[in-house]
Amino acid sequence: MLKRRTESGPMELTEHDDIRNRRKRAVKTAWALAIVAIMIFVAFILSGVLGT
Amino acid sequence: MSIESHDIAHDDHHDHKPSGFLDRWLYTTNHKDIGTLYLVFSLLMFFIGGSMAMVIRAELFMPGLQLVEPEFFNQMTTMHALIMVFGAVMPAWVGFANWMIPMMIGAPDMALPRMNNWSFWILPFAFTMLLSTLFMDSGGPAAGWTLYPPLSLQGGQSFAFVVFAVHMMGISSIMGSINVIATILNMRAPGMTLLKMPLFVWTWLITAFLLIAVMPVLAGAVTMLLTDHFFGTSFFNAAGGGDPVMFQHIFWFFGHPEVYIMILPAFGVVSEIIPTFSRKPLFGYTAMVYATASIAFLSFIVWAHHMFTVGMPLTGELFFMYATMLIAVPTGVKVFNWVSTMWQGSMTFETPMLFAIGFVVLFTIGGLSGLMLAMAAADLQYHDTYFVVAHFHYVLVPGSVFALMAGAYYWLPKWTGHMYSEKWGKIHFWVSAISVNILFFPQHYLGLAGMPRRIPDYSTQFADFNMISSIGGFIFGASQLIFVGVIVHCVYKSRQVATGRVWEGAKGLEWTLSSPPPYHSFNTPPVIDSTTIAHVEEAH
Ligand code: HEM
Ligand SMILES: [Cu+2]
Repeated sequence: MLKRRTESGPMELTEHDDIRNRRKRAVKTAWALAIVAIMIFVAFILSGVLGT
Repeated sequence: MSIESHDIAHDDHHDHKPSGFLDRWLYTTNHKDIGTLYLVFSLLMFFIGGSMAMVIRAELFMPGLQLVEPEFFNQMTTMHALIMVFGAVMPAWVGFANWMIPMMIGAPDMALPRMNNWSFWILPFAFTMLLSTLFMDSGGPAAGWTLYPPLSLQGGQSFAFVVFAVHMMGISSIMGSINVIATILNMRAPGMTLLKMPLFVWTWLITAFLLIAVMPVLAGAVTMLLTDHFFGTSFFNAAGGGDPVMFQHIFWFFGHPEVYIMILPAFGVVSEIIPTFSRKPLFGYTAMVYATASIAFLSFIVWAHHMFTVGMPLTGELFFMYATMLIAVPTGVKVFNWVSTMWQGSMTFETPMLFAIGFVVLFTIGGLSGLMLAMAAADLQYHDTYFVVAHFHYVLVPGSVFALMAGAYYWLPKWTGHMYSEKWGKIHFWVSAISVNILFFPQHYLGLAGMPRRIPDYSTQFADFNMISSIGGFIFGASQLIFVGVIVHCVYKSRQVATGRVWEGAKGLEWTLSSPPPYHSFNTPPVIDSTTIAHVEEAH
């Protein structure tokens, strides 16, 4: 892969840094967070339903 | 094109903005344009919410009922808070996040640009709906922004619109935070490690986690109100076996983190500005990151300090009292670090720095009155009085709002490519800083003397301080028009061109771009080195 100069010497850029892969990872992060949000919403309402 | 070429010139080649008005603004996926939309929207809400505050202060200018019906007064206090919290302060911070986070971490845009467009465009609908309730038969919500049942359930049909508006605001905030987290975790330029990120990015990352954790809780709470009101459930209805105090627990489990959602990005902005105008790196960068994380953690275990008077078990009172007082520790670390950053710096006092210093001093007053309220025994007297109103306005107005002003002045030259009028900026600061104290300081005394909050009329012994407070309020309100004048002048009239760096002491990736930055920046990730990172001491 490409290299770029940095202060601490050349830095190897890997597949990991490729913008397409990063965008894919971003979408995964987003889904994970969205699921967490929905679960919190449901959990709080359920706590009300089950608690009474 | 090699990956090394990270020049600005390179980005300029494809600096084409969409030409049509709708293409540019309605369909936009550009983080800078969406940032601008958020900021303009929040300024508009700031003035709508502000005009409601003027109604409140006008009615309270003298004892007795003179201008508005008590019922309408209650709608004003409720709407004022809902609009300021969800329409002005929160969207303004999302606007800053949109503009600055990609530029600060060397990303080409937010990670999910189309969702970004949605997050913004939901808001105008949400607030149109919320405001429209004022014109409905049953009027706007009038039970306070905390929406406590049973009172909040005694309104009419328009309540459904309030709930739906809150749902939409929540969805917008959650989508915005998902975007922020996905961007920060995945889109940083190679070499921009987490502990090299500017503090504003850190505070927003943590804020976004808070938002994702608590906005669904609020959504759940208002959903249960909705079903109690319209579908015969009894979540909070004591007559049907429900528990109204349960609502308070759920609401404040959202509500206390919410106040930190409004203040953490402010901490971030102030931590950017003070080093620039002190010409020194931020003192204790890592301590600041840990302090922010601790505050965020603690914010989840203090909620019942809003409920000391409902009759909790003594152990509960004690737990929430001590947990609340613990927050003062990381908060103190922050104030200490800001002061230490200024210590022996070559300070100058441009408008952003004035607002930042105003923030440090006045926010701390609010923090101290918070500590007074945290004492459960004392809060029995202070609760639901104007002392609480004074407390949260100190942390929110010369706190969050001053930090917003500071950030706006700081980055306005970057955003527009022109310098704003320093003279008018300073006038804006001094008039605001003086009047905000005239407005809110007397409210401490009113509260200590027993004046309840959320009332349209009061006993005559409170008359003098209320009149002073109202005068301060009118001056503060009017002085915000100066801010609009400064912005309009900066955007359309100012001929003083801003350099890329803008401020002599400014560090960070955003300042390596031209002012205004190209429409698409950092399409090729920049190289990260210590000369461009704000908090690294330069090698001599
Ligand atoms: C040192 C940190 C703080 C402490 C110890 C603290 C403590 C408290 C306490 C005990 C109350 C409840 C008073 C009562 O209702 O009797 C309260 C209310 C409130 N605080 Fe704070 N606070 C702190 C910081 C903040 C910050 C940073 C914000 C927002 C930026 C904030 C916003 C509010 C608001 C909005 C209320 C009133 C909510 C309502 O009843 O409508 N506080 N605070
Ligand atoms: Cu609180």
